[in-house]
Amino acid sequence: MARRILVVDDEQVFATAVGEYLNRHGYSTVINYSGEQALRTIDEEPPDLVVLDYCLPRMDGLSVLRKIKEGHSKIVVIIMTAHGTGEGAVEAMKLGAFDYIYKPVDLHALRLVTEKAVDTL
Amino acid sequence: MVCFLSKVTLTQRFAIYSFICIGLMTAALWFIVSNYLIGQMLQREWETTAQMVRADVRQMLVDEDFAAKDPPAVRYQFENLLKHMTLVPDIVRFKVYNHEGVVIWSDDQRVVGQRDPDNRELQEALEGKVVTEMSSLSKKENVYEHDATRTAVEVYVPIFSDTTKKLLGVIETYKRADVIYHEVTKARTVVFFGAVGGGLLLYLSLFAIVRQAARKIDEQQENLLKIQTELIASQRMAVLGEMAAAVAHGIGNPLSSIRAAAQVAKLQCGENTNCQYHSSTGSALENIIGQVDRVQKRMQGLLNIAKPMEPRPSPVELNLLLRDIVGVLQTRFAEAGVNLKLDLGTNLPKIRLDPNHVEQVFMGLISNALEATPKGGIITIRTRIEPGNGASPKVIVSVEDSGEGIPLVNRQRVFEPFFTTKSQGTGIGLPLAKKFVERNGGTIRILDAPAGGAKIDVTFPRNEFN
Repeated sequence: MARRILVVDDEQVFATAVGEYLNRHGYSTVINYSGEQALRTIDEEPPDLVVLDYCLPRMDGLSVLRKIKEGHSKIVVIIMTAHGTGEGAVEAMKLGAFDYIYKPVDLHALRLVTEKAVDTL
Repeated sequence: MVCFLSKVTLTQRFAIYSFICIGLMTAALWFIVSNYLIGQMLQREWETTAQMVRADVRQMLVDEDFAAKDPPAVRYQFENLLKHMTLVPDIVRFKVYNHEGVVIWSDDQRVVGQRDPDNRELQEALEGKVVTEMSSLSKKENVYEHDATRTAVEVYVPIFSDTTKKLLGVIETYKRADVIYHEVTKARTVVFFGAVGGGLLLYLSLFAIVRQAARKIDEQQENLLKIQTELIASQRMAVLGEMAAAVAHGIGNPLSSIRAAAQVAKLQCGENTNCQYHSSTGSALENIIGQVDRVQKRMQGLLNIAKPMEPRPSPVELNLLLRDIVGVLQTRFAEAGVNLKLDLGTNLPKIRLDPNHVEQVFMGLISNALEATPKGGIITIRTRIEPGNGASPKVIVSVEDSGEGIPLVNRQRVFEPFFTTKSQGTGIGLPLAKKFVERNGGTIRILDAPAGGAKIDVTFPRNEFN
């Protein structure tokens, strides 16, 4: 059974592309465009892995990560930090993120990190 | 003159003005002090002479001798007095006047009985004052003097009666002026050298103080200018940083989307091998991804240059670090056909620097040198310790190439962000290098290399790691 991945990013084109790319590599992806929507999805049907953007409107990536880890500590989270500044990466790792990846994201690199994360499950 | 003064520096202007002022002051001081001293000297001299004359008169004459109606009758007494008085050094002759100003005795008998109402000094002496005058013996009252060319001092001594206290007459003595002139000249010379020495000392002290102050002012002006330049640069950087962050935020997300979409499209294209344009589409998508990465790299450079970077110092062995860098760049040296010469100073101490910053600096500078050097050229990397000469010693790393060099006019501009003379340059490398070097307490400057290309000197303070 394909691993279920939740992609959370407010950039719809990007989120769709990530979802499409991972689908084509054998994963089952769900796409959400906000943190609130992602938390609802997780409560209803928890995924194996979340690919989470750090910079989200209203509820930022770190807050979403904190909530995920409070309710669903086994879900693996990969953080995408904006514009290569590394902003929030250290904090995310402290909060229990599996890894972080810089934007603009190389989808091939994202797939490799995802594979490593899935291996830990 | 005005034009000349407007060209001279503050110190030079002070040197001229103070020289004139102190010169005038010295001359005035010399004039006043020497005249005062000479006046005092002469007064004492004449008073002594007057006392001696009065003592002799008191001893050898009586009151009646001055009032004698028949001068030849008292001639003997006056001749004795002359003999006695000429024992005193320098007194050459004398005349005796009665209380009415008539010559009653003189060593020259031709003037006896004459009166000279125009003789101002005599009139003053008849009023009871000791009067002196520097004069020539050729004056009217001395017309019969044989040795008239000699200068003398006339001293008019009023003689009073011991009993009645009334004026009996005036004795006019002639003293040789040679000795007193010699003393006066000596006094003037001593005062002159004193005044000139004092003036010179004052001038030199003031000049030294002003020169030191001028240097301090120059230094402060230079520092102020430097701080001002740095402040402007830092403000520009701050604005640039904000702009860069805003641009990066606005462009970063769409870039991510473009790149991701292109990667997905490429994946799809790769799967669909039946597609007529399979190969060219794949290549176009590859180009899109490449160009996105290029924009992202530029943006990253922009952010790097604008954001503050605090160094994390640790002991760095510069020679080792440079050897590592040229080791990494060995393939590029071989490809470019450029020779490398390492002239690394011995006993270079470990210094406290951020190794990442320093690595980026020299990686960038050596890469620039490689781009600038033609095939067959040479790049020389030198390290050395420069003694401080009073200041703290420094460690200097020089990167020299044999390219075309950097024109003087561009040597400051190449450190401005986004200024470049290369067609493919970003204008970020050297400003970033400068920023890294300065953050680590160093300086960077461009010179001419002996081989004709550019020489970049990076200087770090020798803050040895203990």
